[in-house]
Amino acid sequence: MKLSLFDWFNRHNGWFRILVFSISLIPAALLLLDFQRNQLGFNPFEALITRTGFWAMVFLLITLAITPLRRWLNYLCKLAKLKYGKRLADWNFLIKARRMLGLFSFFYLCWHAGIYLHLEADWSLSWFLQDLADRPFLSAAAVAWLFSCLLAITSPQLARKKMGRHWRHLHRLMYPLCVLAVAHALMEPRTTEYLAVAFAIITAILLLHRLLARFIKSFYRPDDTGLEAKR
Amino acid sequence: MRFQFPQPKPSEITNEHLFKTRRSLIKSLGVGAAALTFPNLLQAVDKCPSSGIQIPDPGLPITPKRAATGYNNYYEFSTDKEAVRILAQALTLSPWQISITGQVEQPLQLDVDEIRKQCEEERLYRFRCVEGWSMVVPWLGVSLSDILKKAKPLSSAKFVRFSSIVNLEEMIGQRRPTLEWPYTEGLRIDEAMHPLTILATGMYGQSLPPQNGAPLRLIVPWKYGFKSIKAIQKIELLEQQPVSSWQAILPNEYGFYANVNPKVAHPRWSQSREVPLGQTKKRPTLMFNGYEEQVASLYSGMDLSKHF
Repeated sequence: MKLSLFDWFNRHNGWFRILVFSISLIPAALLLLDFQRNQLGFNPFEALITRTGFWAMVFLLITLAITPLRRWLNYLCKLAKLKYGKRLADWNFLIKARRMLGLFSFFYLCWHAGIYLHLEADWSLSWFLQDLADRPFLSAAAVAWLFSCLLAITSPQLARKKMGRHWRHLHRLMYPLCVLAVAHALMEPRTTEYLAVAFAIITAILLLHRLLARFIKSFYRPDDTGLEAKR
Repeated sequence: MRFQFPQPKPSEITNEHLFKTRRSLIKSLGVGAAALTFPNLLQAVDKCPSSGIQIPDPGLPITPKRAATGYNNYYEFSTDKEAVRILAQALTLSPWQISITGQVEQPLQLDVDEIRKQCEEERLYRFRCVEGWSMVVPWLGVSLSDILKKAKPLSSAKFVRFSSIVNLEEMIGQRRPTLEWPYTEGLRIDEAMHPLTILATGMYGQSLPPQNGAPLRLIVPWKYGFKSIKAIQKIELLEQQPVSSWQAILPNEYGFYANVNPKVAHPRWSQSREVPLGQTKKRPTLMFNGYEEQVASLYSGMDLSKHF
């Protein structure tokens, strides 16, 4: 039997993860390169904060998209009567990279928050509290950051084993986290509005998938969460 | 690493206008030589009175010219700050007439070149955009009060309204209704007559580039940048307070005064810090953009959080 790429990735998912890891580092590398070469444009502060925010958001949405993507790809492959990819398990290698993608979102988020705290708030607590009061979109950001920290801290396999089923409950924070992140982007007055709207639409579609899967019987599959992703 | 040529200071660069009229300058040198023999002639040559105001040092390095002329808000062309520099080159700058009408004894029609021939002087000002970025620019310009005085304002003139132009052919951003065109701005008469307020015709020792408001723009250094209207064509002296473009569209966000004030936040963001163009770290914004000593008396007794 000839092996498809999926099969190969499913058996050697280490390679897939190395690939995802290297691709995920590219935005950070480009940012550092531009910073080092003074190529951040006329308003470097704005460039730093928007670019890190953009990538944190993109990785967050990719993480959120893994489960629906697996379902949709499986469905499409069935429709197209392809030889491979018809089984949900054919796409399991996507789930193996999910935690890493989530942590990359947290990585870019830390840059984003660090840039704000260092270059704008100057590590002054009184300033930060004043800014929270002045700018409502920062409260959304602060709560989202707390949620992300919780998720990142509890991401190792060990924490997952120790927490048992609480882990699953805690990691449902991902959904409010995405809503908060989108609210933050929509309320931020200076981002390109279309981009924030695009993020909002994508998030809405991905969350809608969950709602359908949760409440409509014919959409529900027990292996859909990816937690039971075994061959 | 790229090699950077050492940049001369703007004050060291020969003023473009002076360079173009260098022959008459040589002639005037002859006059100077004559004045040596007839000393009282010398006073006639030196016709520019000093503004009599101490301009505070900006306390920051001059913004690189590339940034000040490459990062512009000019919705008549585009809402994209970096596209403005390219799109604005389409604007026809000459001939350009400015009218001064309204509550004046003597309505005027002036050519921009006439204004340039006035006492063009260099003013190194801070410039603070309402969006939260700032720069330090050496402007070349004439005091607005000198120009207004030519039209002899009546005592009934309490406000000044400035209007830019409508030119759908060349200002392609005007084809979209982002704001009501032409762009208009207003000042109280005492603000307009203040020695810090200038009509700028140049920057960095050269004529004003189109994206920065050529051929003539207002500079009111203690107010947010949007008050400093670009490409002025009409100046009207009024009895009633006019409504400016931004005030008309978003009255709860942009007031008539628009004084730089770190304590009064914009409804959507804070105004207490600013990022100088080309730098990464924010700095605290100063009251009246650092011109408190010069202009605070204009607003004594006013509630600045109400008259924002």
